[in-house]
Amino acid sequence: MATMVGKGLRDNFDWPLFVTVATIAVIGVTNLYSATSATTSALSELYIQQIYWLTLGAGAAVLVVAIDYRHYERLGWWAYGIGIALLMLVFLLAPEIRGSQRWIRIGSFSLQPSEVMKLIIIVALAKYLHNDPKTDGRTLKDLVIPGLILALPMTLILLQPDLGTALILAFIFGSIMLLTHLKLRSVITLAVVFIVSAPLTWTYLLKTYQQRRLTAFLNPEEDLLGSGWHAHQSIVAIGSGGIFGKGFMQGTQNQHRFLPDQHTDFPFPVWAEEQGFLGVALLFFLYVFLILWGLKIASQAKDRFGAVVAVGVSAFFFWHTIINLAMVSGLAPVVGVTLPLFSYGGSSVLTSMVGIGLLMNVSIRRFSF
Amino acid sequence: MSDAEPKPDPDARRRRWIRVRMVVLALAVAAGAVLVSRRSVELTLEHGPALRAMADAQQLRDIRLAPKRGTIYDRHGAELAVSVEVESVFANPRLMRAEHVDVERAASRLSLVLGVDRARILTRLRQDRYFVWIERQVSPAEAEAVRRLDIPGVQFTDEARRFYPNRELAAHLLGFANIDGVGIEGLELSMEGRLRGSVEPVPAIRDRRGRVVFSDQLLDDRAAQGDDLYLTIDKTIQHVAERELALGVQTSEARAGSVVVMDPRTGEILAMANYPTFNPNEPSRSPAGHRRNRAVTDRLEPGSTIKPFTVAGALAANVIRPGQRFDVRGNAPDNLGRPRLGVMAIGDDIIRDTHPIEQPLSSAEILTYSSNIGAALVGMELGRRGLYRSLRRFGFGEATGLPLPGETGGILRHHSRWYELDLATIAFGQGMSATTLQMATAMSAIANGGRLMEPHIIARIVDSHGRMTEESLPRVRRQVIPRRTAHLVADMLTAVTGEGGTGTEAAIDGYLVAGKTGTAQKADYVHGGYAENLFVASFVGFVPAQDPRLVIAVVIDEPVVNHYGGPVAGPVFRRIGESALRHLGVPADTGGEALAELERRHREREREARRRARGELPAEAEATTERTAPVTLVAEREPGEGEVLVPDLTGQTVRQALLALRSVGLTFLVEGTGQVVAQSPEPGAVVPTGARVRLILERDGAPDEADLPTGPPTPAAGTLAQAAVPAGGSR
Repeated sequence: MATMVGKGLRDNFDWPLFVTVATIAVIGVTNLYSATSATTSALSELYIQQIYWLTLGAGAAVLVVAIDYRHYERLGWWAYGIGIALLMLVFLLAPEIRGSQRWIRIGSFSLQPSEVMKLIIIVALAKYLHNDPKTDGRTLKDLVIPGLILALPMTLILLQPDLGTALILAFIFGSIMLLTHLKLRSVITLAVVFIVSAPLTWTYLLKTYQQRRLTAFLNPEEDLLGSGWHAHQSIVAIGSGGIFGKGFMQGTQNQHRFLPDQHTDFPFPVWAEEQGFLGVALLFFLYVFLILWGLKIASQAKDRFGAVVAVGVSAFFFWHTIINLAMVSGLAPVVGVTLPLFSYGGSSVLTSMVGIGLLMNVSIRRFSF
Repeated sequence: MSDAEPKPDPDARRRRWIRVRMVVLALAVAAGAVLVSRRSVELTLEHGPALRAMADAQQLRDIRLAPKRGTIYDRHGAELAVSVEVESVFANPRLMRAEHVDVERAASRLSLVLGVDRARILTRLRQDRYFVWIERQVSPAEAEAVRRLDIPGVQFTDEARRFYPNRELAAHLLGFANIDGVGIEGLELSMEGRLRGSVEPVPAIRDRRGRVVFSDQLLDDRAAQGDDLYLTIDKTIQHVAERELALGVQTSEARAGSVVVMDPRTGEILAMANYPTFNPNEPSRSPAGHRRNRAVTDRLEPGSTIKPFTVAGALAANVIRPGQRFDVRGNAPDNLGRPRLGVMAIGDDIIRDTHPIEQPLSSAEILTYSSNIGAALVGMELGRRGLYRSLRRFGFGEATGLPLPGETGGILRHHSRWYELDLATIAFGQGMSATTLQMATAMSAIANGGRLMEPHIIARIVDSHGRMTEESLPRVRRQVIPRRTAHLVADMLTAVTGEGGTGTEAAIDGYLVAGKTGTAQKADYVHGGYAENLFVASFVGFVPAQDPRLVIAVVIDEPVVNHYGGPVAGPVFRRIGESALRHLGVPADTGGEALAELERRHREREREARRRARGELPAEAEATTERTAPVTLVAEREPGEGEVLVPDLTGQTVRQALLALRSVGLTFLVEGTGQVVAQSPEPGAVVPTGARVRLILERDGAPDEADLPTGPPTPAAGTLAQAAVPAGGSR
């Protein structure tokens, strides 16, 4: 096994994937340096922490790559169980931060189980689909088990409450299920159910602040200094960058602290403001390339498990990226979704890196039998 | 998405399955990417400029700077008012709450260190705010002490504080600025526009909390800085004027006083002093009355000091000749129809000379002896219109225009509204009013050959880059009287300080002094008419008389111990003049050397007599009799007709002494306060009725309040220049 890993790593190492990820990470750290430079000293050291997390994540990725992904298939249900357990622990252990419980403190680290759950659900779904190689159209009945796989963690996450993560989970699920052949009738039924349930969800499930964020999105000018503030300042930041940007460390929107959460949810406006449209284009290219590359890996995967994992990880990156960008550019409500590898956050970075590890794993072992 | 290395796949269907869906997914990704890209193009490229403008709009804000206030210097560049950076202590109560600071304890500690009321601090610390002042503009030691307390949320900021390094010096002139650096009084108020600097809003970049981050214009911090003022004031002369005025006011136990020193050649104000005074560093510690610049805000009836202007006006109008003599006997009939010497009837009213003179007086003698009747006669020659115009030309009745807040022009009613008596009384300075500054300005015209120079107090204004933006050059306001007339009147006025004049106390060794004493009655605003015992003693003059360098106007309000212009204001004039002439390096008179020598010898005698009276010289005087002043008769003999015996006043209070002297028909001259320790002439001397007795007073130990004079002497006690207007002449 070891020799095979060595050989696989040496011969089939996925350089484009590595270079893309590394580039995004480096840009992310420098951007973080600028984003936090104007803030208090405690925050201005964040880029160092980000480097630690990236290193740690890289180590985790190496570990993930080292073991043939097919072993993960066997551990799929175990991982799922542990993930659910952690999500439940959140309610017992986690302190409330800004009105929600999301983190578990382990020593000096804070772990966000919902982040980890995103990968676990990919693996769990991959395992389920791998063992259910049905090729003809699926009916709603066939969706019950995958639906349950999604519903359990999603409910727990919504209870935290963490709308953004729950949505990401749902979107990843949807993307993976798109690979399977659904009967048209099922699709229509699902659509109807969604349309009916949306108002109910709005009324009964969403918290007031979540509702406010959504209305603020629909009508940003209404409450510019309140709920619309984040989106408004972000748009102003992105737009004021123009073509060439204001230059590194020169973004006035950020340096003068008009941008909120500039290191977690809003690092992109910082980048856009300072590097302008050209910088934005570069970042877009990197992300689009990363995602398409992930899909290419999926298409070349030697088994269904690998393909589903690769698609899942790609979907993870895609939805994170698209929602975050839509959010900061005023196309989507502010839901607190990070830009992978770019935003600060231990769990986020770790999850992204492990995801990349999975992708790399599938990529390297596409020829091994 | 190519298969570089095709390999046998058992399930072709499955391969196609993957491919189709991969393409679908890739298209979805592309669609998402296009969506977001389209948005970024829209934001950065299409709306870029507009959004940039929005960013600027919220970041750029016009701020009002607190520019450095300009410095005020004297004419030689000595600092009179400066702005210094000091620290102020403030607190952030919200932060303190977040940090769980025990505000009670914090308040106690701050109160202890800063000496501020604890309850006040506590109230502020309990407010739900981000910013409350604890104490502004603390001393470095206090700031250090607060810093050592190290209370979270208690912070410091720099503020500019106005500081007056010379304390009381020129306090009234400078005024003061409040804690925010805004001029409240004096030049600080009137020159606020120049001193404050640019308060034009300056564009600056601010952060979300509104704090200024950067401003182009802030880099050049001198751009907004206030201008510096250089005054015409000479710090040394100002100091002397204040010191001597204070001494004079205290000695005569007066209510207040003011002095203006001018350079008649240029109109520059060299000093302007007032008493009581205040410390502009702590203006609130003094009552408002102490902070008033009396020299320009208080109008007082000038009295006899106006006579030179009456005479000058009449000479200039050629209505009198220099040698013309006036009969000043008055001879108004009394109730029984007998003529009264020194009383003149004007309509139903009378005016009187307090020192009746039999023989006719020339205009020069009218000034020397300060005859009211004489001045009234001269005024009548001029006529209402002529006198009014003449005095207006000398600057009475209108403010001089110095940039000093609250300047009054005095009151000189238009001649069409004068009562019959007014022509006579205004001619000797009653029934009109003027400020000390006006007196000095008018006298400057006589000193300067009839040319009235525009008085000014600001020599130049220099901006923060050292460029002079304004300079006051000497400007002639008008030729009030012909040059020849001015010289003539100046000569006449030298006699005032000469032997027998009313202003001998104002004479300065080595210089010929021209001037005029004034002892005006004060109007009684409660009962109408003039108060029986309230006077304004003044001396206005210039020196050297031939080539005047200084005009000094001294006005002492309500002196108690003595109320005559000569003895009360004269010494103040002399001491200021002596010091100022020495300071300016003015050579002693050459032209009038002989005259000055005569004057000097006369004063020598007087001083010697004074010293002897104090017991510094042997009292018996075989050798000194010759040199004794005429009034110091020591011969022991029975008083003859018109003579009296000088009583022993030693040990008496002023009041007792004055009463005793009045009862025997003697007048007095008082020096010092307290009880009589010496007198001149000595007790037992025989002197003519109405002669002056000089009393030297000293306080021994704690002064007994009950012994101090409770009221001023009545006018009847005086024999020198005095205007006595009957109650009927009130207005």
